[in-house]
Amino acid sequence: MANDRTLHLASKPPEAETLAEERLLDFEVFFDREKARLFRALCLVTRNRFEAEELTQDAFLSVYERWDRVGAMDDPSGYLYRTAMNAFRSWRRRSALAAKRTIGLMRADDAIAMIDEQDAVVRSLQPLSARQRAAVVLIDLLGYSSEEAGRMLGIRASTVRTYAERAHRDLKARMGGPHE
Amino acid sequence: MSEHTKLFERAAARFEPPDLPMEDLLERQDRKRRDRRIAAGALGLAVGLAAIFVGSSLLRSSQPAPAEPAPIAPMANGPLTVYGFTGGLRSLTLDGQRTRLVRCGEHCTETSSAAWSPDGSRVAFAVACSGGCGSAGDPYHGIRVLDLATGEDRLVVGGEFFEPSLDWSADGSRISYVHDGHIHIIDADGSNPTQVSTPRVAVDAADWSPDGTRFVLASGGALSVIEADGSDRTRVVLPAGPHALSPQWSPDGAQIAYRSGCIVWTISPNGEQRSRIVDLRTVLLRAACGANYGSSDELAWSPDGRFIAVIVGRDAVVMNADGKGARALPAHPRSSWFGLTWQPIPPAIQPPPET
Repeated sequence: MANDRTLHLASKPPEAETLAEERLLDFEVFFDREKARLFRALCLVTRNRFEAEELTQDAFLSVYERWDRVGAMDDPSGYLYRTAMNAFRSWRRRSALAAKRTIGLMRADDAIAMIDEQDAVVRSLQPLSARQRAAVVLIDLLGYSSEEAGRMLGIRASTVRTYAERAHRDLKARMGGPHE
Repeated sequence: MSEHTKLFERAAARFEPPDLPMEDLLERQDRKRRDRRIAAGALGLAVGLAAIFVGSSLLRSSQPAPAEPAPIAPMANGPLTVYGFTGGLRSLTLDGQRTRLVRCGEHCTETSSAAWSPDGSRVAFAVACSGGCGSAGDPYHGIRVLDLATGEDRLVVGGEFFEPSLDWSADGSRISYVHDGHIHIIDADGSNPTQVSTPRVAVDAADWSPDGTRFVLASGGALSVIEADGSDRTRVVLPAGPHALSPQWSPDGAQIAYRSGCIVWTISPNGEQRSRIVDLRTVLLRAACGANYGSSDELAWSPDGRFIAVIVGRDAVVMNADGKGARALPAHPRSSWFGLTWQPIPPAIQPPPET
């Protein structure tokens, strides 16, 4: 009897296995499609590739654990970016990050200086606060409206627009041309 | 696509994404689950400890505070009390005056130990004839307590005790003694006998710390400090040197005085500070203080802690607590003392003696 019970618990019904496999496959497609884009967006926001990689993994993990619901959404990537921005804003994560930096567990990204030199956009984001950078990236890179970006960042849409306008003015000045 | 979006996409493309396999994500999931379990366990433990702490605090606060033992007023120095063969107990003042304190006639073949209660009102002493003499087995023999006020001389433990290293608890309610290598404790009337569990050594002498929490032991010429409740949580072996005898706590508990050969030492109870305070041969030219001489009770602090007295054969030496001013008291030609104890007296009766 014990063996029967063990076998029963260890094996899943065939239809459940199929559903689980399909679910995983769906997520893997989503993961492969979005991971580079999210990572790059977070690099612009955080200006640190290691931090961006951690945030990317955390955001995908959070989505994976809720994929039953998120996978059925019209725009799962919107949920992904909202999750990433929530994680980025999380005071708990920021405290842990500060502690990691203090004890040397989070490395500084030395490559960012080189990229600053190569790219005026990256350079123009440098003087902004992390939240300002996030607002600009959500609008200009990821194509969200100021209302959507505001919801993701927990700030008013008008504030997002103000951030974006300042960033555009600065970028225009740096690049010496009209950028509206 | 707006010009800004193109610029931002070009900027973002400068960041080469790392290889992020799905397996890394699943490993991260496992790691996070484990971290959550650990955090939950730690939180549970912290909550449990906090609950225990709060509970015990409430319990403590709901109970009346235990009554503090009545403080014993600082005592002044009375006369020394010396004892040995055939003499019972005698008082010996620092100017050499002797008076008989206990006369026990034919019973007192040997008085092997004595100790004054902290308030000086009673003296415990042991009467024995352990050498196979004719009075062995005398019903008078044993540990006795003499009450000075009433004159009552009461047997509290019958038997033959050879150097039982008598001592009183700080509040005067109990008496400790050494017998068959163990420390025993009785109430002052002889009731409630208990044995203190000691390390696997045969105890030769024991002295109760003034706060009642520890004993200093002499065993095979070595000294150690143990917990008085027998818990054996800590045992500090003191670096006392060879042939250490007669350890005695100072009244303030800060030092332990003892004799090793002809040298009197003091040592801190943790063994960290040791001072050689006097060489008895500088005071007594023919001091019988070799390694084979000595008893368990041949040294005593004055009740006020300012002086130390040592019995060496027929002689007594009194010195300041730092060893200075050592001098011999007049010897008694027909007496040989085993040991001494210093009688405390209320300060109003007699000022402290000066050496």
